[in-house]
Amino acid sequence: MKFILCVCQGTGCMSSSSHKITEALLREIKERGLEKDVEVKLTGCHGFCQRGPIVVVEPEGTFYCGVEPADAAEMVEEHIVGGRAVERLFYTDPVTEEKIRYYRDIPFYREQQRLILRNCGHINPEDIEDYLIHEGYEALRKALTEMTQEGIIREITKSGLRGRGGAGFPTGIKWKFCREAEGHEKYMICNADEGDPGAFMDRSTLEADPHSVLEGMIIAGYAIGAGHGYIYVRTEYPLAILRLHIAIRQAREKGFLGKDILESGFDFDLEIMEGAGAFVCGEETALIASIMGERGMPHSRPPFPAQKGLWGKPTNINNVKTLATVPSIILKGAEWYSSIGSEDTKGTAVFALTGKIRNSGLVEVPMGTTLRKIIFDIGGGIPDGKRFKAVQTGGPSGGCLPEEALDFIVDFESLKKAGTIMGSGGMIVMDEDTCIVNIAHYFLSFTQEESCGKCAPCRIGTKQMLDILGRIKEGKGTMKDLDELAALAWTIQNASLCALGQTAPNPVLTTLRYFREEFEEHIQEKRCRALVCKSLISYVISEEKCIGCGACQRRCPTGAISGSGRTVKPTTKGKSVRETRVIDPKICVRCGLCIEACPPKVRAISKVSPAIPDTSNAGSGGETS
Amino acid sequence: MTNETADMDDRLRDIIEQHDSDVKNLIPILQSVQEAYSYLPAAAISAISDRLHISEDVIFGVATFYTHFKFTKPGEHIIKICLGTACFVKGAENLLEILKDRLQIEPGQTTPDNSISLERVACLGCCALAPTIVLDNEVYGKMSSLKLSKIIDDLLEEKGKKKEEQRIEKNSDLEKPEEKTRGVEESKGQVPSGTTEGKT
Repeated sequence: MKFILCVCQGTGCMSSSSHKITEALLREIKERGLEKDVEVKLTGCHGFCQRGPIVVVEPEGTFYCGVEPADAAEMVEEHIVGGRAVERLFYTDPVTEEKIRYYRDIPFYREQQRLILRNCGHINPEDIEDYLIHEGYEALRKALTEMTQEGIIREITKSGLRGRGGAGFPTGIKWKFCREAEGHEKYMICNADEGDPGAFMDRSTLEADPHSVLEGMIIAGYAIGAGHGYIYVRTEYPLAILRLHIAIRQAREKGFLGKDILESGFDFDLEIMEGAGAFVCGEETALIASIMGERGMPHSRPPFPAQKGLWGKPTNINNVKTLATVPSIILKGAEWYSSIGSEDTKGTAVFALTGKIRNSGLVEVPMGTTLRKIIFDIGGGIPDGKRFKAVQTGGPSGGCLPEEALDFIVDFESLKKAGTIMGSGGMIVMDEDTCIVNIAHYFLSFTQEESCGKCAPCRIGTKQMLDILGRIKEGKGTMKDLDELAALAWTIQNASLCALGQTAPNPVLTTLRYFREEFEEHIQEKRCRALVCKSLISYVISEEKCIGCGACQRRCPTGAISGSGRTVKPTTKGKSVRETRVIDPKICVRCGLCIEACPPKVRAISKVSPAIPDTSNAGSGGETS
Repeated sequence: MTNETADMDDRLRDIIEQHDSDVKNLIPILQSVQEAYSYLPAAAISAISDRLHISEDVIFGVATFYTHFKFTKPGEHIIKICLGTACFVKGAENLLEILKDRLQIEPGQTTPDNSISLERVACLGCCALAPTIVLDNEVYGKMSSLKLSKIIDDLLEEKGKKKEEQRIEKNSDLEKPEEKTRGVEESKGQVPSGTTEGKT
C-alpha cells in the first residue's frame, strides 16, 4: 500500500460531511483502478476540528484541511497519480499566512506531546486490528502475565499518575484503597460523563481510540480485583457510544474481555450505561446512584466508593483520560511517565482549546507548560486583531484568569493557587468582546440549574448569587451587592455537600478578584465595556456612513429601523443625499442582525454603552466606541 | 383507542422484558421508552409502574431529575441550540433570543402546530465549531445571526408549504398523498448545511 488516506470521522468533521469525502475518495480511486495503491481509512478526531474536515495522507503526513467532497478528484488525480500535493488544501498559518504541508510542521501539532491522544487520528477506531498493530493490548498481556496486582498498583503509584477527571487524586492510591477494601465482589467504573460545557476530550478519545480506554479499564479491574465494569457515558455522545459498543464486541471476540482473559484465569466484562443528562452525575457518588437507577444525587463521604460504592460494594471510578494513560505506563514504565510533566503533576494534560482563539481544538501538552504557550504558540492567539482578555479553565467549577496570569504553568497546584482548577480540561479563551459579568452569570446559571437541590447552600445560595449577578447585568446592581456575592460564595464553598456546590462560586470569585472594575462599571456607570449586556447598550446607525440601502431594515425582526432611503436633498453640486436609517431603541431587541446585514464595506451600525436615554430621536449620537 | 393501548402494552412489555423487568434498569427502560415514543407518555409511566411494582411517584422522581426525559410529544422538527461555554462566548445567547423571538416559544416548548420544538443543550462537544445548533440531528456549525435567520426562514417556509399542500390535498382528490409528503421530506434534506457555508 503506497498511500493511506486517513479521513477524520469524529463528530466535528462528520458534521462537516466527512463521510461524503470518504465516499467520493473511494469512488475516484475505484474509477482509476488504484485500489491496490491506496487505502481510505476511517480515523477518529485529529483534534483540529475547526479546520475540518481533515484528510491526512500517510505515511508521508501531508495534512489537508477544509476538504470538501468535490476535492476528492483533484486529490486523487494530483497527489496519488501525479505525485503533486494539492497546495490549496494545505493548512495556512493564521499568523504568518504560510502554507504548511506536513502534519508535523503545523505549529498547532508541533508543540504538542501526545500521550493520551497518541492514537487519535492515526488508527481506525472501529477496527481492533489497527489498535493491535499499534501495541494494542500489549500492556494488558504484560499486566496479566508478567505482573502481580500489587505490582501494577505500585507501578501506577510510582508513575505519579493523578486522576484526569478534575480532582487530581493519585490513581495508584485510589486503586490500592479499592483493592484493600473487604469483599469479593468489586466494580470498576469509567467515568465518561463529560458534562463540562466546553470540554470534549473524553468524547474525542472514546471516538478515536476506544480500545485504549477499554485496555486501561481491564488492567484497572484486574489490579483492584473487580469482575465487572461499567462505562458511564453521556447520552449526548451517540458516536462515542456506538464506537464503544463496537470496541467491546471486538475485544470480547479476541478474548480480551470475558472469561479467563489471555488464559490468566481473570474474568472481566463490562457494559455501557448511558447517562440521561445531569451534570452532577460526574460526581462519583451521584454517578453510582444513577447506575443504580436512582436520582443522581451525591451523598456524603465517607463511606467512599472504594469501601461502599455500586450496589454497596467496593468500587473504583476513573476518568477516560486516566484510563487511556494506563497502558502506556504499564508498557513503558513508571519512570518514563514521571519524567514528563511538572514537579507537582506528572504526565500530560489535554485541553479543549476553544472560544476566541485562532486554532481551536484538542491540545495535549506536558504538565507545566505555560498558559501563554498553549494560547499563543499552539492556539495562534486571538483572531480579528482583538485583545486577549481572560482564559477560563475547569468549566463552571473553574475560574477566569487575566492576562497577568498567562505565564502561570498548568498543573493541579498552580491553577489552584490562581483561584481556578484544572478540571477536566476545558480551556476557553475570551477577548475584549466578552463581558466578564455576563460570563460569571453564565457559569453560575449553569451550576444553579444543575444543582441537584439536596443541600441548601448550593440550592439556595447559587440562586441568590445568580439573582444578584442578573441585577448587575441589567445595571440595577449596587456596590453592596459585590460584598454580598463574596459572602454568599464563602458560605456555598464551605457548606456544600459535593464538589459541584463547593466549586460553583469559583467563576464569580475569580472574576471579582481579577476583573472587579468591570463589575463596578456595570454598577456605577451603567456601562458594559464589552458591549454585551443588552440593558446597557444601544445600537446606532452612523449618519455619515449609512448609504441608505435598507439591508438592515429588511432584516430587522421587530421593525425598529425607520427611514425610507429615498433621495431627500439633491444638493447643488449634483450629488444626491439619501435618507439614512434610524434605530428606535424602544423597539430594538438588540439582536445584532442589522450589524451583520449592513454591507461589510459600509459598517454603519455600531453598539454604544451606556445605553442611549430613551428618546424618540435617539440614534443620531456619535459616541460610538 | 383500545388498539392503541394494547399496542403500547405489547411494546412496553417487550422493552421491560429486554431489561430483565428489573427496577435497577429503570433509567435504561425509560430511555428505551423515550426512543420508541420520542417522549414518556403518561400511560407508559403507569404501565411501567404496574410491571415493575413501583409507584409512579418514584418513576417521575427519577425521570424528572434527568434533563434527557421529556413528558410532552416533541414537534416534527427539533432545534437544539448549544449553550456550552465556547458557544456562549461566541454569541449563542443572542442566537437563542432570535430563535425564541422567531418561533415565539421558550426552550423546552413546541410550536402550537406541533411542527418545531426548541431545546437548549449544555454542550454538544462540537466546541471548535462554535456556535452550533442541531436541526433534526444535523449539526450546523459556525452559526451567525444571519445564517440562523435563514435556516428559520427555510423551516418556516417549508411549514407554510406543507400547510398549503395539506389544504390542497384535502380539497382535491389526489390519489397518492404519500408520495407528496415524501417529496417534501426530500427537499428538507437539501437545506443548505451551515457548516459548508461556514468555511468561507
